[in-house]
Amino acid sequence: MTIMTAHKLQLKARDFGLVDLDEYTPCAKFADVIRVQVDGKKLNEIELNLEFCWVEYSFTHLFLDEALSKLRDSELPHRILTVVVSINLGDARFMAALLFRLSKLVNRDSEGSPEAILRAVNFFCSENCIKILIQSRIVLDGFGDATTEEFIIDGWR
Amino acid sequence: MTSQQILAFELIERAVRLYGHIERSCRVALIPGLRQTAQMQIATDLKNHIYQIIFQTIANVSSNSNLNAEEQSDYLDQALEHLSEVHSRGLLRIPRPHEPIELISYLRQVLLSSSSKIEPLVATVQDIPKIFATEMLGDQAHDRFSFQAWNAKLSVAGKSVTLIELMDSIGLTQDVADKKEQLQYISLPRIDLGNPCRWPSLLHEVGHSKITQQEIIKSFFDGISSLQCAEVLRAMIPYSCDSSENACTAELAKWLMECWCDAYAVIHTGPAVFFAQLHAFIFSQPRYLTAEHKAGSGYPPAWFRLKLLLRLSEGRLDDEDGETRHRICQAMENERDAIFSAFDFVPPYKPELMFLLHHFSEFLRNAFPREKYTANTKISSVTLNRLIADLESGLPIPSLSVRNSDREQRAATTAEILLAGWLHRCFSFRKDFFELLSKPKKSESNLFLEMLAKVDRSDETLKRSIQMGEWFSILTEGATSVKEENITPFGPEPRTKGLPGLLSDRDINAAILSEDLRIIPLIDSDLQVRGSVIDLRLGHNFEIFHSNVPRLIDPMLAQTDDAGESVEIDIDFTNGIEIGPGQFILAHTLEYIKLPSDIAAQVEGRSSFARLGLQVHMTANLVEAGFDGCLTLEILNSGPSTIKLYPGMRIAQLRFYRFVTPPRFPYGVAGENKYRGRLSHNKGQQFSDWEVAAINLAKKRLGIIND
Repeated sequence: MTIMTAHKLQLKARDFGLVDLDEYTPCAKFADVIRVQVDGKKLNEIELNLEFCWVEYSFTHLFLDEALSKLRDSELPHRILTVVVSINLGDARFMAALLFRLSKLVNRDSEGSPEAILRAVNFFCSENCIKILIQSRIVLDGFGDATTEEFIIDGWR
Repeated sequence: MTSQQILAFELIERAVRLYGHIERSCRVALIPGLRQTAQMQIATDLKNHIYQIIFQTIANVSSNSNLNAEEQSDYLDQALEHLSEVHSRGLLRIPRPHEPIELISYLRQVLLSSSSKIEPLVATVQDIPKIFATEMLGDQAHDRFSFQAWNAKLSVAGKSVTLIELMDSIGLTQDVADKKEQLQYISLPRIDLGNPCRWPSLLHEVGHSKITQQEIIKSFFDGISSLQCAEVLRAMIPYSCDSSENACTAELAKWLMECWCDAYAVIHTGPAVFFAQLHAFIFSQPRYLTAEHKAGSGYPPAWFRLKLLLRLSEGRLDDEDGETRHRICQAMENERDAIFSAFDFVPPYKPELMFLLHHFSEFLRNAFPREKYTANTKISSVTLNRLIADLESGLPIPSLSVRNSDREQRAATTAEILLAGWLHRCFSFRKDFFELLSKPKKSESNLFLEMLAKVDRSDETLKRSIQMGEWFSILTEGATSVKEENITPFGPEPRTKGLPGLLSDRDINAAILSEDLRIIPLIDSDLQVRGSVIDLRLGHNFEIFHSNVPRLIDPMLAQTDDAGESVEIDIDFTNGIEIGPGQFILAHTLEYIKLPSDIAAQVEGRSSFARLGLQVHMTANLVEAGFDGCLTLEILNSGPSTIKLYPGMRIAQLRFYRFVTPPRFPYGVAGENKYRGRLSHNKGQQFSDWEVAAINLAKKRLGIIND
């Protein structure tokens, strides 16, 4: 389902039948969805919900770069990119580094360590006044309880 | 095409291949003078049975079928099981053919080649594992004989020990270790022996001999924190025999082993492994692809492995060439999704498996760093596109004609050839095959023969391509050592271009460069094209006639059973073939020739061999304009001594004549095309001449019955 308010767009990958976000084609398709649905000039908030999708860093940059470049081109201030995942492969900080590991937009020259990646992402966000929120919502088996961990890269400061 | 149709294609193609395999297997056992055994009758029964499965499948998935999609899926599911049964039980009762020599060539290239840039996987030809054909499918097909044998449990004095433990206890460990090295046998289901698309799976099996489970698990745990170790073992609980740490560790080691071997195959043979393994899973018995995962089975779910294989394959494609990358990725994903959809299978989303997948991916990426392992799997988009185009046009080409000042062709890698084979299969071969099935008013037997020819041709083309890849490296290396330094450059186009008459080497080169004339492979044109001729090399496939079988050749008997009259053999370039005085054999040129409609050619022997008394043709030396295919050589040793010939030798010559006016009917246009398009030699087809049919018809009208 796509929810669009005045300045915010929420996209849930599963609603577009995109589950395998560890593979090239679904990631490229999700990037296309963002390209088509986002009018970058009028939006300052994009939420990408990747819950219950297979997420891996090989191709996440395809759609993350698309979303970030749309926000970068926005005319509005206080831009936010929220990424919601339902897996946490370390902590939210590590997860953030992983998602942007192969990004061509923000992480061109870093040597690949999580710290270096986050530094590069931070630099990009500060330059373009973008805040990135990585939310890991993990549903525990069968009980319906969820733990949420959040990592913020604050480019507003 | 619907997913059911895709699965039906897989089933039909496999059945057709199985039929062809049985036919070839029986040919091996037909020795003149020997009594025909019950094996032949069983073979005939099996073929009839397979024939029925094929046409029942066609009827059930055609547009006129009464079955709905769900019923079609059920039918296909059962038919697949049935076909597997025929393979694993039926084939046990019929003779076993030799493995194709192209398979040996493939393994030599992948495992031994120094051009791989990665260090060769084995040091000498003796180290290449021996392949044996098995009737088993799926996991059982891949028994690694040596390791199974050494790890077999024995009962000694009431205690259960493995053979290797027993040897160790009596001080023979070193001896055992040596033997363990020597005993490397890996198996491939019989049906896949002749199907090069499935050969990449062999690399998975080779992987099993390269590392032990203990080494893998140690290296895996070394790469993650202790907290992550605990989480990984916890994630393994639902998939292990019990929830103990030992059981989880043991199961994890087995999973890692399978995935490590998949990755090993990917880094050595490229994305073709993904397709090969997917197809192995479809036809495994019991069906590994969609069956519910059994805790403690020692295998990760098939879809999990496919996901990992996909990640590893995609991750190794060239970032710079987005279009090719996209094409390959899409083909892999589409193929898998279509098969899943045909089985109505949706891989479950399980957080613990996602967690494991991530750690497995990271482990394998570190085990096989991209910087170190790229050469063997590097896919050039130019090569790939060219190969696919050539495969679509039916040319057996592994090579590229580089369109620049020289006329050199270069070999594609086995990774490129097999990937091109799979992409061709996914994009056009399957569609063409299905169109063939839907053509109306075709008799069943004709349709079947067409299907058989199509599958055979596709396999032969790829096998030939792989073999040529090896020829290129051997002969190019050899050519460089004898090449004269002051060779005249190719120079400008000849002024006589297009004029009729005997073509000089400059005219021949110009025709090759413009691709009017195709000579495949043209390994070194400076050494091969000289004066007014091009030298042709000896191919690998021979027909040896039994001299002690007196036979009458009567062209009027179309159904002449020529079984037993001769035997077809493939000879590797390392062995050679001996031709005794007075012996006559059929052979073929290594080169595939494609003549334009205004150039004819004449084949002649080379003087060096003529002086030994060797003839390469029997009064039939004209190659008609428009002909394409390998040339059949009718070789007779008229000399006093036995002559040994090796595939790859320059044995014949071809000279070309351009017509004053182009012919009205170039070869093949007026229906005279019985020898066309062959990739090996062709036996006499005199019974298919139109006048034979006319005489037979006249005899029938007159009431005369052929003897």
